[in-house]
Amino acid sequence: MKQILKNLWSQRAQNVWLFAELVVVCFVAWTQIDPIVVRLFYQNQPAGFDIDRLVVAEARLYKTIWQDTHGSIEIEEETYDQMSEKFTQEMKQLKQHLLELDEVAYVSFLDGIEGYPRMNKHNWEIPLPNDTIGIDIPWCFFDIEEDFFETFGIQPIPGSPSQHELSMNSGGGQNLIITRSLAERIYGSAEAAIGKKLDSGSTYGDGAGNKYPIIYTIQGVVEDVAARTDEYSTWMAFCPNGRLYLSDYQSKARLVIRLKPGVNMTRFVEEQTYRTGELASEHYVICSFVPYVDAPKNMDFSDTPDYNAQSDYDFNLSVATAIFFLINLCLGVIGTFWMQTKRRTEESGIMRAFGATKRRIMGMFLAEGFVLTTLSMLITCVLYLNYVKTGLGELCINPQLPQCQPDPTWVADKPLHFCILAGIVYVIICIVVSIGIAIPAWNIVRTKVVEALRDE
Amino acid sequence: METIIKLTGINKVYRTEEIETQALENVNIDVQKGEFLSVMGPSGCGKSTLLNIMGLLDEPTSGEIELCGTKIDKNLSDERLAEFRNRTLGFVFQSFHLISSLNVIDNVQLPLMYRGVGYSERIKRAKEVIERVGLSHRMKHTPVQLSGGQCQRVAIARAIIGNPEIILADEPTGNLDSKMGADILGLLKQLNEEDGRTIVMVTHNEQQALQTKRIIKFLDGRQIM
Repeated sequence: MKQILKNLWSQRAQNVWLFAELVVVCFVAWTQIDPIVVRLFYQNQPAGFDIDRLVVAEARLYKTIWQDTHGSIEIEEETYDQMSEKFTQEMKQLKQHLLELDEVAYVSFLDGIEGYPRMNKHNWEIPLPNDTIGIDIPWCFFDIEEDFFETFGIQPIPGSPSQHELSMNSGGGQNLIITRSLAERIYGSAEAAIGKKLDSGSTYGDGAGNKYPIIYTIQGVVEDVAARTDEYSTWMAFCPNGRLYLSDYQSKARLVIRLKPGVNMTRFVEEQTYRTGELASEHYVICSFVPYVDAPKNMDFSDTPDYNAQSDYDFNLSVATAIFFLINLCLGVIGTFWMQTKRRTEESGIMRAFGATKRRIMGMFLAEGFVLTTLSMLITCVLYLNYVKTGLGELCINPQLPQCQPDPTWVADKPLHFCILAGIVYVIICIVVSIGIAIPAWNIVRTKVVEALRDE
Repeated sequence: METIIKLTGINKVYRTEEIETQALENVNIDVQKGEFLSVMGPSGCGKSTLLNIMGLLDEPTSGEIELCGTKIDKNLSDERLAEFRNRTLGFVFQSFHLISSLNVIDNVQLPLMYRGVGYSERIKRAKEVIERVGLSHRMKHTPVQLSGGQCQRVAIARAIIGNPEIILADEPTGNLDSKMGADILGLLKQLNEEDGRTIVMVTHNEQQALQTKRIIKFLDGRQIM
């Protein structure tokens, strides 16, 4: 170690530039990597429901039955309700077609993607019983009698009605199903929540100027579910829709398919994509199949006004930017170290002439790189800490507001978050520096000693 | 007398896509322990190639090398070769080949470092040999702060610090003026006479060669005397 530090110090004129470059690269890499690491971490957290073998089928209108002009629907002869009824019947036809496939276990409707688990968060603030503050709850609307809980695989807690009973939801729009952690937050325990009343904080009018509070009955409690891919959130409320609404669909409609155990989802999607066009109702035809996890990325949800496409867009943009920056920075670092190491061919020849082994020379070059990287990382940590503390930048942590569910993961723990990201950046830069050193070092130690000594 | 270097039927051919150059042709040399041998010949006759092969810095195309009674196998591992160079051989090059970023004492102690000798012992021995070559006042200087003669003294100190049996000097005075050259030759003679080290020196200076115990002459890759 003493020798390595001596070597570094004796070549300080060159190393100071390497050092400065490494500090800049570590810093920029950190700013780029942080949001990606956090997002990927959340994506790989358990979704809380069975997200495997879950496929979204998208149906499109192939025969005009109404005019769609800028999102509003002009109905010529039939009434709106009749049209909605017709639409519902068509969806049920498509559902039946899908259920006839051997691989399919359950099918449910996807009303837009408003608030669906792991897709898009649709928050609604409700007042806490016996409290002055409200809490933000991700809210999901589902269609009753359409096997929603069976299809998604959302599990009721012991003592709660079964998946089928929750999906049937005899209480109509007055029932609510909430997740375990939300029940614990509001009522102290999950089991105690069942059958309780919950004031939504909203009212409805009777047309005569009277307003009545909307009070839900907690019909059941299910295990925690992640609302979005880029957040840790296990609070969720499932609110039944009484019926399908035409305005939710316009020219597209989507159904969620639960495949039977043992069915290969990739193969199913490939086979059904090949057969698209065969599954059709009177006016709709299923035109694409996408795994549920990929639906936000691969399907166009722009027809659903509540869909927050920004989230995926931002993530993709930050990934693209990070990849661009990292590739350039890494190539820069590799190139600099490559040249620096190549210049030491004669030195390598001298060392070998006096008894150094190839392994020893490689080890020495790499160790010098690691020491330089470590020192750079320490400086970067100080700079980054300052950058975060002065408010110029921030760690990628969702705001921990009192009305939101606390995030128990490392992401929300600032010191731990800082250390983990520092570790990740350090490992990445070490790998990059190793590549920049190891390849040219291996080439120069393989050079014959006489040839290495001729290199000046 | 004990044969310390034995070269038998050494051939060295450099091949490129277009031409083939025979650098050494059927060279047979025996060097006895304690000998001070000079290898002479015009530029390009294969002197340095011979020295590099003796010093295991290059491989012959064919032929056998025996150093200190050990036959050097072509398949010798890198570790074994490195150890052999470290313990048995010391090199002095025409262009010194000092590591420019290290000071005198660090350059000199290199062979001991590769031998695994502890830091304090290395420094102690490095100081001794630097003093012996008359550079104790320059220990902390880097090669760029030294004259050519001083650099060559550092190179000699580095060559002898590990007490190798054989010192191979490739035109050690080639880059020096006549006075400095004479000094360096004197130093090498001293090492030969006082320490009994075997020295093989490549030179094209006949005056210097005449001061050694034996001369071998080369022409076009062949030993002619």
